[in-house]
Amino acid sequence: MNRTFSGGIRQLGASFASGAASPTQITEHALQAAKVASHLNAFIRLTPEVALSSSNESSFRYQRRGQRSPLEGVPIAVKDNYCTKDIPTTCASKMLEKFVPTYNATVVDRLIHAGAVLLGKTNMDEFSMGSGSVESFFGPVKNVWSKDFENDNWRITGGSSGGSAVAVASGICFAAIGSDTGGSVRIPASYCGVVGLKPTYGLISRHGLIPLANSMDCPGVLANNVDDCVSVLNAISGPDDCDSTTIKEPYPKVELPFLDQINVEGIRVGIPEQCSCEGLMPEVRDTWVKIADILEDNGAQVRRVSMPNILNSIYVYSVLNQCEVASNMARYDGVEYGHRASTAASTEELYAKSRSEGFNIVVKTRILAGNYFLLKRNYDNYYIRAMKVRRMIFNDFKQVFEKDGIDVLLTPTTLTDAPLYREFVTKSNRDQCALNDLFTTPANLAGIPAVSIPIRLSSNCLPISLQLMGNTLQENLLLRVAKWIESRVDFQGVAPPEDLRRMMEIMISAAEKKTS
Amino acid sequence: MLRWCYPCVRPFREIFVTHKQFTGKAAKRLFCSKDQQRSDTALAQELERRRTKIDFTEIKYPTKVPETPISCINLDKSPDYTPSQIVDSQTLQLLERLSLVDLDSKEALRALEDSIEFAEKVVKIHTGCVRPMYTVLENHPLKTRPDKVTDGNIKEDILKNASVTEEDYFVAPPGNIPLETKEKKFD
Repeated sequence: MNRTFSGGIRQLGASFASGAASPTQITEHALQAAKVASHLNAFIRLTPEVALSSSNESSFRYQRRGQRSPLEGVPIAVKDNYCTKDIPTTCASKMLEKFVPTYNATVVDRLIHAGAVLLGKTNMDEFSMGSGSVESFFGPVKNVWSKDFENDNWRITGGSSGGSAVAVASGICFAAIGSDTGGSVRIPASYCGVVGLKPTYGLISRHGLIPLANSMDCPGVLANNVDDCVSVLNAISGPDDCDSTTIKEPYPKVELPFLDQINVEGIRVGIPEQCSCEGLMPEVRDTWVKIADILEDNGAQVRRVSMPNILNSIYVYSVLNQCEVASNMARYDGVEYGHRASTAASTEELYAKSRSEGFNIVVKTRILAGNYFLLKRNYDNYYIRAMKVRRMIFNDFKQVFEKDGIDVLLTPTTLTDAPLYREFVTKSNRDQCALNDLFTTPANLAGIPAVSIPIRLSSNCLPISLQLMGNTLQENLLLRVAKWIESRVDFQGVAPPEDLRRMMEIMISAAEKKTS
Repeated sequence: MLRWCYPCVRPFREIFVTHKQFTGKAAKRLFCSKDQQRSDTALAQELERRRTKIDFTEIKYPTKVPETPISCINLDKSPDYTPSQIVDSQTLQLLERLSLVDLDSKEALRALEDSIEFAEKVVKIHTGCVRPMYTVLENHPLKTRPDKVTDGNIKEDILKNASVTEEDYFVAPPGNIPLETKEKKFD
């Protein structure tokens, strides 16, 4: 039996410090909760030994009042594409099924240094290539908000960091690390009703993050609330000698004022008109309209802005992603590491066989398509042109932030609430991504920070979230507005998944009674 | 640490027990032990009240979100849709040789052709004299570090993940033999 908390990381730390709870207790409990929730398939691997030994150390440090940071003793899950020393890191692929890194990713190192407890490695789409967390070698992740977990009637989590989102949404851990290349943190955060932050490109080191598309890959944070997000962000951000693409200028830690000191008066909020598109679920649109209205009612200047190229992002992203994938995946040949085919007569045959056996069909198709775009005869027409349109999208953002003086942009995160698995898998991976990534890829192409915050429940009793985007390195402002909205909508107090199922049962049985 | 107790619509604050201890059945969920279980109707009412706390249909100001959809991303395909981009068998063999992965089914070929067709949208965008953007950090100079060895003696680490090694070498079958690719027929 354990004591536990409804509050966030800060309250948890206070309880540790006062002795009301210990990191060991909480970690044991988190491991137990993960086992209880194993039907969700959120974890590829739990790391009980590592977790318990580091939580013991944390408990000891609290006793001696030597805690290292606000994250000391807090259980955190990490997506399985971050290298963890002596702990298998698979990218949810057969290719890396037996891969055991010999070093820690910088993000993991910094978490450990901050005293956080690594609970396990979370499930994802194979090599992050997907937007539903349904393409894992270890089976799909199920959304904790589903009413039914059987017969493909469950809801998808969104992806590719679906396991991390579910680990937080189901209450197993306080925060989780994901990675966001085209929306892979924000989409699952949106579908699972948690906060998902993709910071500025280069703010967090990618060292040890197994790459998908280097020019857009960005580590991200999933947590129950904005404050928790900030605690984790502050622990892992900042320049890193091992990653030359981290921003080298000193960056002050994000510090959010207390709620009563935050107001949105005078904040200029942009509504990109192009984001009002066909296929947007009416309830999502209503949510978007209402939150803009609440902001305006509290003194924010809400303005409609035009970003003509913003929805071309999915096409540009598709080309750039596949080109970078074709290059990145070339490292997997089965010789130095990764899956190796058992027999082959030549080196090239060994490469080809190992790769054919090790990759799923999505990965293979992206490699082939990428190499098609990179053929000499296609290079200018596809790859170079995609990068030109990328600049046009970047310029759209520059225009609104610098010339129009917009502070934050408000858009939906996804077109709908979480789709049913059986409906989702009728579409091709290509179309799944295009639909899910529509509003999220622009931030990756422009390298700007964006956060998804849960707002309300749809009539299906599933989370609906909105996205805020800010200018480069404006995390402070962005998260301040996010925190304000969060306090207004009080999503965490709306309806927790555990109760939801109960409520649905009651409603269904009531309806049955009526008809009979 | 499931945040919410199933029967009582309240965050856990007190000691709680597993499902098994609570109901005697197999462990599936976690429950508070102290809080009293509320009646079903009270629970439904409470949740409905929370769900409708904010009225999302009522707004005070004329909305800045366009009334009618501005853009249209049409991804619905008819069942008999076939991509207009055709990858001929010669190109396919070239791609397989470059990629060192095989394309093993008609569906995979369709997915490839579909990807190319999707990318055609980019080709149609008028870009004028815009410069390509390789990285968003183009205005940040890359930091170089002194050309000094910072690690070493990690031979074991480097060889550790290889399936086959011999006397501190990685092992591969004979090289310089081009991969044979066969013409594909998926009918």
